[in-house]
Amino acid sequence: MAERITTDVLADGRLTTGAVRWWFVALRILVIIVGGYVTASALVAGSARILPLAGLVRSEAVALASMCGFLVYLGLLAWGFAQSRLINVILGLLLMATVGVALMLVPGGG
Amino acid sequence: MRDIVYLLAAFAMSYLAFASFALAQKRHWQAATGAHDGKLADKRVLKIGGIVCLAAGCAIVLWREGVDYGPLLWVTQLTVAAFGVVATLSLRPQLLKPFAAVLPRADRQAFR
Amino acid sequence: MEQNLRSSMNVVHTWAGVVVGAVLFAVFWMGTLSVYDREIDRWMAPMTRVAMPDKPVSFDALRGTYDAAVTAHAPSWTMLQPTERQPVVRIVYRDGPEVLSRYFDPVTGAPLPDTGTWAGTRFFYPFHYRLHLKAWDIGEWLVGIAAMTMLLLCVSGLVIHRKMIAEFFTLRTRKKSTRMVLDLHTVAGVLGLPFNFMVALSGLVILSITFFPSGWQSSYPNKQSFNAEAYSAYTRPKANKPGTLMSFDVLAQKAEQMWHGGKPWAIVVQHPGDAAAFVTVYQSFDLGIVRSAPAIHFDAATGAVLHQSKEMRPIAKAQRFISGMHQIQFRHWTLRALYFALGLFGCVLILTGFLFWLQSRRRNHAAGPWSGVRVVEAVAISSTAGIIVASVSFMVINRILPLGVSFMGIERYALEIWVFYLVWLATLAHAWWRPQMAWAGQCRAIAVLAVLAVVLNWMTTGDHLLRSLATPHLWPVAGVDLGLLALASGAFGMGRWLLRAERPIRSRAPDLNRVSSHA
Repeated sequence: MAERITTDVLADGRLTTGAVRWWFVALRILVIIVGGYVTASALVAGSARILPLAGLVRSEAVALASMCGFLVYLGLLAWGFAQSRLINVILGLLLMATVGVALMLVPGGG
Repeated sequence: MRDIVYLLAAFAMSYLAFASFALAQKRHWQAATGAHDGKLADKRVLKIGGIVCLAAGCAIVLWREGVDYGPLLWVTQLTVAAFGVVATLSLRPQLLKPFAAVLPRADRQAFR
Repeated sequence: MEQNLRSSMNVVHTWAGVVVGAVLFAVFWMGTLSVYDREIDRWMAPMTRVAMPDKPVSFDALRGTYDAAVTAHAPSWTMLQPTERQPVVRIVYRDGPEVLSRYFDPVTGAPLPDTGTWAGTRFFYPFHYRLHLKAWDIGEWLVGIAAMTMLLLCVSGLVIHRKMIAEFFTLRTRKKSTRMVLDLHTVAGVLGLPFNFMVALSGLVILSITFFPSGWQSSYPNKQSFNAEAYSAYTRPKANKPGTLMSFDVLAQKAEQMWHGGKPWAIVVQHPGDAAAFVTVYQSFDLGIVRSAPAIHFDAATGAVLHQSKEMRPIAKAQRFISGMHQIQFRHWTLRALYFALGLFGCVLILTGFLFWLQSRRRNHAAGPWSGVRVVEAVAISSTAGIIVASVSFMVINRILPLGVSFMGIERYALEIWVFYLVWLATLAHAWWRPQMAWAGQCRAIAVLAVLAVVLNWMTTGDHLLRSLATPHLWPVAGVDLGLLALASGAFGMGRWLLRAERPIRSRAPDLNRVSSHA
């Protein structure tokens, strides 16, 4: 059976005596882990395209962006789990992913 | 063969460095010396001495191993030395008594 | 706000640890064993315990195996010169679905008997980076997820204990206290943080192109074009016509000249027997930390130089350096020993994490077999003590089974692997059925099996410790024997300590509201 997880800090909005709807917690976790990975990938792709404009050779840009991707993803995970409201996480990830995609579309990139 | 001697020397430096940092704390000083008479070590000397030992160990490693292996070797042996000090402090803190005996006490500088 | 951060990181740390702890321990344990994978090979395949030859082996001397590869329509054929850690000649090529790995005496060139085992380099090491799950690279992705979680565990652990960092020596282990487990976990975590973080991140960096395909996809049409530009990778397609092959030794000589004295170590032929076959000559990988070696590609029939690898650019080189920091192919015995020790500390970290979690959610006497705690406990025991029992059993059965034996159509190497998994499964069943005695029982099993392995090595090969310590080319065997004995004494001591630590807790009434976090 689904176990009740008592985690006030991860909770959002309405709570009843410390218990949280388990599917809400699962949703949070999914958003942070999957959304974080997608956002990190978008930022990797974007920076791989934009770094050559700064003078870096194309293959170097891809190698650097890919390696930094893990640190970016780690940062997003830590930040996401530290947030108290799910909506902040969603908006933040969407914003950063959009930046990544926008950088990919910059003309004249690598 | 020479390399082993140098590496052991660097390891000893790292070990002494961490032992110094640990002995600067009251709890470990008392565990090592077995004396609860309130006479503690001169913390500044210990901390500075520890940093000097760290630098010496680093210098030895970088000199013998070069820039390629050096930093990696130094960081890894540093970690093992730190574990060694923790093991000593928890299992046989008395082993550090001879080292503590040669260190300057805080009260001797009291008139400064 | 600060208190919220620490408690949220506490929750993350606890849950992440419980969920991936089992996989993480497997990866760390197998990784630690892989530090000495070639030495384990020597131990498990006694026919390869030979001395290094005085001069390199002629590549042409093993031309027969190349012809066999051509007959088998193998996509490639590889020959490796003996090295200090692997003093035999090794030939690898694919025959149908099977990968054949054959060893040859480095002095006479005679084929050595089939090893009949996957030993360290083909069982422990691939287990470490892909859990032997090859379909759709699922194993690599699982290990990658575990590694990312490790990084998150490091960060969250740091946030929880940041007040302790400045005084980390205060976290000495208190022998008489049940909080010794937490202290040990914290000490191992804080002191091991640089190494654990580096090893997890560098492991991920090895596969950075696999795990973040968006990087190359945004700039290159395919992976090959990226590899060609970044790492001077070279390839050309088959011609599907028969072709000839000139002398390997002539090509190796030519490469040595072009490298101004750099010694050739490996030869790989792509598309053996084809008109478009090409021969690649590599230098050794153990010259430095960078996980890459200069290579020259020759046309197989004419010997014309097709491509010579260029010096890598700084960031590509950095990626190979970081990879090298993880794969440690370099020749440096002290560093290798330090990595082994720090790998073991990482295993202790994960183990004490599990122990602490179990202690603070002490088993309720009334808890049924399907309760969360009971399941986690069974998984925790079998994924830590259990996998070690299985690993040592793998080595014991290796000494028991005669060469060339097969059972019900299963070949010898597969029989060893069957034993590994069956024993592992048995430890899970044992841990689930008898949780109170499982820890101590499995520790004792490790101790007994490890000593048995050393005795069996003596009985079956005659290379007992006194002999192997006295003979330089048998030092790998001595090392493994000594490691097994150290493991035995460690497991024996651990078993006794666990028995002592368990007694006061089991006699008290269960207290599920005990401190569950280190404030």
